[in-house]
Amino acid sequence: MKIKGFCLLLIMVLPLRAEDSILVEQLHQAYDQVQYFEAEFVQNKQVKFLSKPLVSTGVIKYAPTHGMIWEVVKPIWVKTKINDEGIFKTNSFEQNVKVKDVQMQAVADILGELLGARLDRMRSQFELSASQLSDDQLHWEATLIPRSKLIKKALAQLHIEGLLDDAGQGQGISKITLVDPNENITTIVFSEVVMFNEQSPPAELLHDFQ
Amino acid sequence: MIFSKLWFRVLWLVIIGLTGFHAIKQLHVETNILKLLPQYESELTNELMGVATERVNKQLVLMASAKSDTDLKEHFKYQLETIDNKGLYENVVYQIDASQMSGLYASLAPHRFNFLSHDDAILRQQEGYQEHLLTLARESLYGVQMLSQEQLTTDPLFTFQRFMSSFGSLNQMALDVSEGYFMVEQSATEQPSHMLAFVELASSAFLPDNQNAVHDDIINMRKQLAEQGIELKAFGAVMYAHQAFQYAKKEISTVGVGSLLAIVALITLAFRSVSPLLLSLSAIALGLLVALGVTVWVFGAIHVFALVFGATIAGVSIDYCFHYWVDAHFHAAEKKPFNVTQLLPALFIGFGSSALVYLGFLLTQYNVLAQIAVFSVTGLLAVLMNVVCLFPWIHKATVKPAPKPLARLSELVINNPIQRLLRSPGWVLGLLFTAIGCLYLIAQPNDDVRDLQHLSPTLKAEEQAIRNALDWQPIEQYVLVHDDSMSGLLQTEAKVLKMLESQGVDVLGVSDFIPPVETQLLNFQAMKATLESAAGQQYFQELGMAVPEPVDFKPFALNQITSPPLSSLFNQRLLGSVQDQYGLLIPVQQPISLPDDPHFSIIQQAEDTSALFAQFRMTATWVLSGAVLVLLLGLSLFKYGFIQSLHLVLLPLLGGVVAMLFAAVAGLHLSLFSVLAVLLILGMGLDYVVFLTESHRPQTIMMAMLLAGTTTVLAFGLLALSHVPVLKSFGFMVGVGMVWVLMTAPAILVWHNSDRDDS
Repeated sequence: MKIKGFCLLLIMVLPLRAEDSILVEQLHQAYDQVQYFEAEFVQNKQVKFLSKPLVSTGVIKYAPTHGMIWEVVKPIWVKTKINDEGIFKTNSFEQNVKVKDVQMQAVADILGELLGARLDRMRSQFELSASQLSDDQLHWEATLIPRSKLIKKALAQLHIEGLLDDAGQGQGISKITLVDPNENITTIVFSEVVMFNEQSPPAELLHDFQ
Repeated sequence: MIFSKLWFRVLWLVIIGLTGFHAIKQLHVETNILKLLPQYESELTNELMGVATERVNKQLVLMASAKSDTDLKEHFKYQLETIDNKGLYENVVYQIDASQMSGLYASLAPHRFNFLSHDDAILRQQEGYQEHLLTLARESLYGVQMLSQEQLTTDPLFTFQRFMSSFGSLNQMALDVSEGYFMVEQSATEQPSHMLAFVELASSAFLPDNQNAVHDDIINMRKQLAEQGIELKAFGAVMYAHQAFQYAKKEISTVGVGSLLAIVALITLAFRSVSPLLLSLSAIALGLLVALGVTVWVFGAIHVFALVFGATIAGVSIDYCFHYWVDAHFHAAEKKPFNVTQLLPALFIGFGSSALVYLGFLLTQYNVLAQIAVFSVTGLLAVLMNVVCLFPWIHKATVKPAPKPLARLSELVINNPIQRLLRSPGWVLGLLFTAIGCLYLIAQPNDDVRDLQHLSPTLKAEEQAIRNALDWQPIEQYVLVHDDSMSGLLQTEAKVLKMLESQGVDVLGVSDFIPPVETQLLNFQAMKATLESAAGQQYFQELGMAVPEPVDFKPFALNQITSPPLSSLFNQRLLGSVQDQYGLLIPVQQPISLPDDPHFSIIQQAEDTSALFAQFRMTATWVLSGAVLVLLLGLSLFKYGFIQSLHLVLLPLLGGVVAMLFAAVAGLHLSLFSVLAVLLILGMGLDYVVFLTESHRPQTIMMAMLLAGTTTVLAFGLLALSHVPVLKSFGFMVGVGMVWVLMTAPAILVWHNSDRDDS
């Protein structure tokens, strides 16, 4: 299936003017020349209806020339590879099977655009509600509101946070928070970031993409 | 003589008046290119494919491209809203219809456990499917998608969500509708952005008024959007039909005006008087009117293709006028009384042989050729009637002597060296077999229907650009399924899909979305079993929520498929009901084979039609052979000896075969229509040899033949300038063939000399 976002619209995109956006500036600082990105993530889904959150952990890997890998390790194991050929899933039942997963494709497109610091296509979909640098200048955040009614039905707000090092250099996105119209919240926290800028990563890091 | 009786002449005028009135009042020119295609044997297949092609033909695809998404959406949307208010279009769709989506959800959600996506349905049939379904559910729980209470309570295994998402698979295009608009799916860095609109015409794409209105809309939109830096491309049957109609109009006028100018020039030069010219033109014009009236009366409409071919009888029928005028002229010059009765045997034998050939077209059972046959035969007969009935009645003036150069030229042609070689029937036969042998070695018939027409390169490029952007391949093969009930239809479709799947064909059908009730029940039972299984209980325990209350099976009524919102989703697949049979199509890209079955068949319109054209080409060749034998037999039995008849028939036949050989050498398109060109050369050529044989003054007849032949060659020769390959080849062949016949026909005069010797 090639129509994206047919029924759910997990889409986070950015529309801002580059010159006045902390978000754009920080993304450019962190990812402008990125050749390889890898991080562990913890995803926490808080659904009002459920008594406890749904927590999963895994690894995300991204190389502009090879695509993306989104691997959930716990509590289940499933690895999804996204590249120009399509989406390929490996789990306990199947190995590298091509699947049609619109949500995954949408997320991969958007994460790819964030990690590639390419925001042009996203500008029309969200507006910047607030963005700020923390007092200690080590932390930044931006809140984005969807423009389209269609996206608003699935997503009320997108909040992105990032870190800076002591020298004030961007280290990229550290946390993404998604809030739906019913105030169910999903957070994705990145840690253990491995990033290669300007130079090619060692071949063994790209092995997983084969 | 009956033709000179007043009552007969009045009756003939009444017939002209009535048919002319009918032609003017009831004229309907068909411009649908697809109507040129031969029909399938099964009437049901024809009707169902008719429904499908009419729907497709009403579609118009527009693609606007610009660097800025925002400008694109704003300005293109404005233009689309403007044309949507005109009433010319049934639908102008360029964005997701949220109400349609809600309606779809509302009608299917109460039966959510009855429906599984194609992949889940395959899974259901496998061992251990419950565990697999629960794994997929956990992948969704812990995957990237957001969760809600409604989702978890109504669709805890996410199967209905996957099912709803799978509706996008019905569409083969790479569209991104995440923002609501139909944007071409592409990466962020790709420029320009493209936005799509799908337009459905309110009525036929083949009405010239609709074509002009759509064309004007496209031109206006293109102009207005260009001012905003937006480029517009469009394709659809209406665009091709408009272009074909414009070409046809141009070619009709070229052929018509060309023939007319040639006739005017020739008559004025030959007779140095305007009355033969005016009378001849009137006779031909009235003849064409009668032909049009009769054809429209018989067929209800006339195809523009038949009209183009029919226009050429102006060049053929002028033969009769020339024979009248030349004979009248010589009688006047010799101060002898002229009576048209003397001309009747030659004129009627000539007309009879031409009519026999045109009527041979009917044997092909191909509707457009049948129209050409009826148009041509009635047109020629009407002109002949005008000549024998009306000319002697109206024209009483003395004719001036013929110009000397014309007389000298006819003398030269009669004595040309080529005809000397062909005075022996044996030589003619030998040459004929040699030409046929050469043809057999070098001719490459091309029956591919796609090569018959000429499509505008600009339109083709626009279509290709849109298809490339959408990664949208044209479908040239379908499986047509029909059954007397909707349930039976879906069951048969499911059976066919299974056969296709075993051949590696990955295509979804209507039954993959809305399965028969039996399958709905199996899906429901599988879902219920999964939810109530121990693994299912554990799944809900992990989530900390109660197992959903069991519900009763409620079948989804299949007749809902035929009404909104489902009907619009399956619009390109479901064909409705024809002859109490429901029909649907399965588009297939790869080559497939299916067993013979009364409920389904493979439809490859282009291939099927090409095969039919090949079959018709063979039939036409047999018709040609049959016509030669019938003529030979008829002339041998009733008029001439066998050898003379053989000579008489083979001379024009050789002209046709030589013309086909020249066309093959020139690399022109050879098809069914080339065989028809040979038939036509045979028919017209027979006129010439019969007129010469019957005449006591060959020079006089040769003069008439030169005048007539020149107009015929000019009329058909102009067709060789056509954009349409088949017309080009046809025109070339008839032109070359008739020149050959003109040059070789005097060989028949050898029988005059031998008759004289005998006497």
